[in-house]
Amino acid sequence: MKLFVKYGGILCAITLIMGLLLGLVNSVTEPVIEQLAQQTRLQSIKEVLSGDITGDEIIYEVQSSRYIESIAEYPTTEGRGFAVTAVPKGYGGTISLMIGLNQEGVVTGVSVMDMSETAGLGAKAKEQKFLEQFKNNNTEITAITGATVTTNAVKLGVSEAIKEVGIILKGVVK
Amino acid sequence: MNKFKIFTAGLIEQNPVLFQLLGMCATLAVTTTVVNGIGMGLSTTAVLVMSNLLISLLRKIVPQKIRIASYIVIIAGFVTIVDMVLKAYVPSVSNSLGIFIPLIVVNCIILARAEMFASKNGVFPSVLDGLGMGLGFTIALVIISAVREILGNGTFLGISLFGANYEPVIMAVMPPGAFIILGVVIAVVNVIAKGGKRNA
Repeated sequence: MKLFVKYGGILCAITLIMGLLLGLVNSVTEPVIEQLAQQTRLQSIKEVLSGDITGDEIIYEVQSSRYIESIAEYPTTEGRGFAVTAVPKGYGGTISLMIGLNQEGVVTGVSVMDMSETAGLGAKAKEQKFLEQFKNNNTEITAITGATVTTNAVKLGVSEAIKEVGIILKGVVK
Repeated sequence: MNKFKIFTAGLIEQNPVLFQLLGMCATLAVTTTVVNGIGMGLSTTAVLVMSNLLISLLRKIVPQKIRIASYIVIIAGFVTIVDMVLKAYVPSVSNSLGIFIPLIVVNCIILARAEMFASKNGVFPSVLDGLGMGLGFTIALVIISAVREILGNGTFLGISLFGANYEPVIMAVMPPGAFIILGVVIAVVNVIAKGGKRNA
């Protein structure tokens, strides 16, 4: 019985020390991480929209797709622009994509915000040569050699984004 | 054992990857690019030094029976700290290593050094041991990832070596390539090391 208390006490103390250390580090790093995530998002939005952003965003609710995380509309110098975050599943986990569409629901740009695909294979999905193909709702995509899963994931993300924005645009027409 | 020897042991004659065959999981998984190899090596070194330091400090307080549980809590804590720091200040490394940073917790090199060295030695030698083993791990990762990146991607540290006409040996960056190249590197290093001894 006595040993239980002693061992429990020591383990408890060690856990407490580590907990304190973790809390301390977290309080320093958390705001920095948050800020970085925000920065990447903004950067990607600017990259994929065709015109310059001129006003505040409008957030839409995602209708049906489980691969779409968020849809935001921005007024731009070239009319309405939609920035859609898609999260399809790749070979090494979720791929986080930012897809830009114009007011006709046509893709103006795709950018990869975060992914952990195999270097030399799936990681090539970050290259402009591959992402450029998706512009103008093109469906004839040349796959990345040896990375079919990654290619299909990006394709899926883009097509779901087109669908979702299509729903929004139809609603407005009505 | 003198202090300098403690440090160099991990670098060469007791190199965790090349001679003790520890930490194979991380070695096989992250060595697709040199940048990944360096990132993983240095992260592990940081965890090793800190966990060795704390474990050797606590070696007289922690009873035998609960030592493994204590070590795991300490190691997991430091790994999480390294993970958070990387995410905040070196996001590119954190992005490309992804899940393999949290997985340092189960890298057997760290538990092995805690059990075999830090729990039996003073603070200063333990830190030196952690540093030596960590850098030894880094060196091994860099060698293996250099071979894999050059063959499989035609680049070194992201810089193209052979121009656009180079047809990469894709297998080198795939899992089977990892096993084959790891085997070849270990064989070559062992031949060099043993050959040197025989001649002397």
